[in-house]
Amino acid sequence: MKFFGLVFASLRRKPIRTGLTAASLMVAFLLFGLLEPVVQAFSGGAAVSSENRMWVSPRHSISDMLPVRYHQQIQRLDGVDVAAHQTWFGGVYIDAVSSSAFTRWAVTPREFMQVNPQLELPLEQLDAFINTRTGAIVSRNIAERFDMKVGDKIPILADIWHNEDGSQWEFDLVGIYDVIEGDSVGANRLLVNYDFFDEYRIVGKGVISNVVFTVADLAQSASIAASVDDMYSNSEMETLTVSEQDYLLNQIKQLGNIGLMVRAIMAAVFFTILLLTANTMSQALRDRVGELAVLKTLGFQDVSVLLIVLAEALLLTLITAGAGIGLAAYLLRFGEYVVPQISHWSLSINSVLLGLAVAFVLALLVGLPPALKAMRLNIADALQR
Amino acid sequence: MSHALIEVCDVSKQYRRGKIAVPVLRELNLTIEQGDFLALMGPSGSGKTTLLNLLGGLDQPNSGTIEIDGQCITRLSARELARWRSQQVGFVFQFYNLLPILTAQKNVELPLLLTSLSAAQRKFRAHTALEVVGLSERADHRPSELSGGQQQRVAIARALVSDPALLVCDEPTGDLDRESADEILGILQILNEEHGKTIVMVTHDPKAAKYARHSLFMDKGELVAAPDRESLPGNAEKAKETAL
Repeated sequence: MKFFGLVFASLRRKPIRTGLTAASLMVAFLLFGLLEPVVQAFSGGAAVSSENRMWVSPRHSISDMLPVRYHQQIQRLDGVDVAAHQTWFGGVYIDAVSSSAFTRWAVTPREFMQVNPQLELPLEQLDAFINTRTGAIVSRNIAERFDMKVGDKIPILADIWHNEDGSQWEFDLVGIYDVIEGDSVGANRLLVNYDFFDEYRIVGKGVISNVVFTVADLAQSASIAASVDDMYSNSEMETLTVSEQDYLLNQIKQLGNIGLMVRAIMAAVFFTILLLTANTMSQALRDRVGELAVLKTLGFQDVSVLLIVLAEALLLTLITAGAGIGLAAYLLRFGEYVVPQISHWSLSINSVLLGLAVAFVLALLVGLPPALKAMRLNIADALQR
Repeated sequence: MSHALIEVCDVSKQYRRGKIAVPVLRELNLTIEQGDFLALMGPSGSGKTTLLNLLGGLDQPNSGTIEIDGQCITRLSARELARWRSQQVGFVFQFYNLLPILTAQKNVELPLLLTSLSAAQRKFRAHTALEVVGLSERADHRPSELSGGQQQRVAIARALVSDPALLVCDEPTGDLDRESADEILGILQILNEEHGKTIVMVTHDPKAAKYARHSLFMDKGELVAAPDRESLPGNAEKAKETAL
């Protein structure tokens, strides 16, 4: 701690140079902080999903549809606890931007809520959803964002599923459900009653997007999945049955490995910053070889000089990393307004720790070479420069 | 009664320039009494600064031994030598070598960071050292806000603050005007005469050397003569005046 003043004073030696270096580091860590939720969403977004929930979908394309009878057939299989189905509704709510904030699905209310116990809906609202043909429920974050209240009419303009009256659908909001933080299945959804939807759509009646079922015994999930797929092999619509987590990850992978791409961009950014900062640190060392030689002359041990130079790099990097990540955490509050598809716009403690670890390694990489040089400095030579 | 503070025995030092070994000091022997104020003179490249660096423990000879106050510093490890320097030697350089980022007070405190003194004790001692060199009122100024003479006084305060027995000064007035040089030399003389500091000073300036008790001349890495004080330019006149 005695040397802290010396370390801090050294950083103020060339304020503009230190400021510019700090700014570039801060921007890099700001970028890290802002992109980390994207990485998490695309690589670990299904973390909250249940292990015992299985998804049955068309084997060959997500644009294919399953016959609705699959639902009942799967429900009857041994080992299947509860089966529900869901169908992509799509449509436009208010405008394209608002629509992109949440997805819209037609579901079987009772069964869907049974297989998704992580969605918390008051009992009377569940009854209303089950018993109201035009009923719809929505996740709380969406309800708050669009000021939706129970009793509201929710207009949806069809883009796929037109009805007998044209393209305008109208649902009665009968419930608002809470979701576990980070749940990528329940968050940002509007759920409507399938029976009403199926009755009034003018094409594609009797088809669904997925069957979702839970298994009583987790150990049997693989064999049950195989049974489902065997049952429909060589049928009009073959199926692919996987765990919910695998299903969601597969969906994401169809977009490409976004997490890897973002991480690659971040690696490139940090590599550039590494080179820039290392150059700055080396320049700073060259500028003060004489001063470091004086410290050694006065009796500072070689290792003390090493630690002083290293501490400068650590202090600069960790402070700017902290500032960058802190600023990112603040700006992420507005993330859902920019990219609403990502449900969890905040930095996890793991992401913060990862950022600080990156900062620590970066500081070692940029600080250690000049610190070692300073440690090995020959006093007599350095004083004559 | 004074005794030998510094014993230099058969010390040789050579530097390498590529594959060529360049001898700088050749089997040099020297004894410096405690409380002495010695001026080392000689042409550039004669080995004065190299000898000073060896006496200050900044460098090690290729052969020979150097004992200072009974301690053979040529046998110390780099770590031990650093600790020895911090306790036993004060350094004054031609270009002051103050840290520009620190105030005069903080510059003087630097050697005390290596001690177990508290922050308050360090501050008090640094302030006292600055008072000794007459610069306490400028304690909060940075080197860039001080004149050359004032910066050198801060450097002397820094050399003094840990109360070392030996001060080594490499051209302490080489960058100063005559008036400032006289002030600095006067301070060194007081430190020698009143505080008992042993001082070894490298200088090209005969007028500076006259402040010393003794002078030695070096040439090509050897002590070539040790004229008495009166033989130095200026000192003969001074001696005559004293005699009259």
